[in-house]
Formats: sequence, C-alpha cells, structure tokens
Amino acid sequence: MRFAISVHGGPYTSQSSHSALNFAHALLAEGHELYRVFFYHDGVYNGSSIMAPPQDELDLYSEWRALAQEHHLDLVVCIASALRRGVIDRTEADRYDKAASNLGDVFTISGLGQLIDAALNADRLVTFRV
Amino acid sequence: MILHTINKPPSHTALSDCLAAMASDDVMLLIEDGIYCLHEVAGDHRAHVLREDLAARGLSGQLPSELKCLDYAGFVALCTQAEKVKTWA
Repeated sequence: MRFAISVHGGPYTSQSSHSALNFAHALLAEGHELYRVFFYHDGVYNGSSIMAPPQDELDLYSEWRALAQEHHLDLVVCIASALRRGVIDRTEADRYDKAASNLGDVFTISGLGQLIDAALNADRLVTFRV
Repeated sequence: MILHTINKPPSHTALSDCLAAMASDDVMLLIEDGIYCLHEVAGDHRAHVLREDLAARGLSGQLPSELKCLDYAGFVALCTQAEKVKTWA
C-alpha cells in the first residue's frame, strides 16, 4: 500500500517527529511504499542540516537523511513554514539575500500543493501533529 | 472504518472530541501522551494502544486486559485496514 506522512512537530519539542520516523521505518519494513513525507509548521526544522544534538541522543536529521537515501524518499518541507523559520535552501538564500542556507540535501522546499498531491496519490495519509 | 489516533492526555479535549465523532465500527489508537487516556477508554472494544509509548510512560503493567496493544507494525496494519486515518490533537 502507498502511504504518505505529514509531520507537524519540531524535533525535540514534541514527540511528533520521532513517532513519524518510527512509523516510516515500520511501513517500509512491512514492504509498503512511502510516497512522500511532508514537513509542515515546526516540522520543517527536521530539515535543518546544522542541528547537532548530543551524540548519545537521537539525531533526527541524520535519521531522516539515512532513511531517504536508503529508500529514495521524497522529503518536502513546506515553503511558507520554512521561510518563516529560517529553514532555507541555497536558491531561497540567494532570492532573499541571506548569508547562509541550512536545508539538508535530501530535502526539497515546495508548496502546500505537495501535501494535497500526497493526499490524492497515496492510499493513506497519516498525520503526526504536535 | 476510520482509524482515529489520539496523542493528548484526558485533560485535553482530543479524546472527548474523538469519542463524539467515532462510529461504532471505527477504531482508536492511543499514541504519545494519548496513552494517559488508558483508563478512560477501558472497556471500549474499539481502543488500541501503542506498545512503545505505553512502555515509555511506565504503564505497561496497567494495561486493561480488554485493550489491544500494538507495535508500530501493528499501527501500520491498522492503517491498511481502515479507509482513512484521522489525527486528533
């Protein structure tokens, strides 16, 4: 079955990101397809490549990155949520004349239409809210 | 059949809102702090709890016998059985 996941919570603030990651691992292990993970609201912080949690704690960015590379996942951060929070890629950094960008290379910035597309094209959309 | 997930304790309106909206053949899964609704849903055959979050809160020994305990694979399976998944928060 084809799943899509929406993540609304920031890492280390709520359990949302961790639950979504566990759910993603489980559905892939069961042989299902993960069509897209859409990071919304504070969920966009999952895409920040410069987070540096203590080494004995879960590194959510690295976990998403490893999972995406292994399964060729489409990880999308909402552009409206991300720009407000300072999670930007090189293109947006240039557009807004910012000194740096931080969005990880396996993530893409896109619009809310990608969530609608996921809801339409996946058999199940599972949302992990704050 | 709709799967309803709850991630808030009973002090929040998520559980009561969900129960008001649930059909008799719907199912519910308590996750995250929704685990604290354990005793409120005791006796409701539609209720399930996520094992990992139950254990993380030290409540494994308090699981009412009629509630079904699922791991993440069971959560995924419940999603496939339901037509859609509704998140209450």
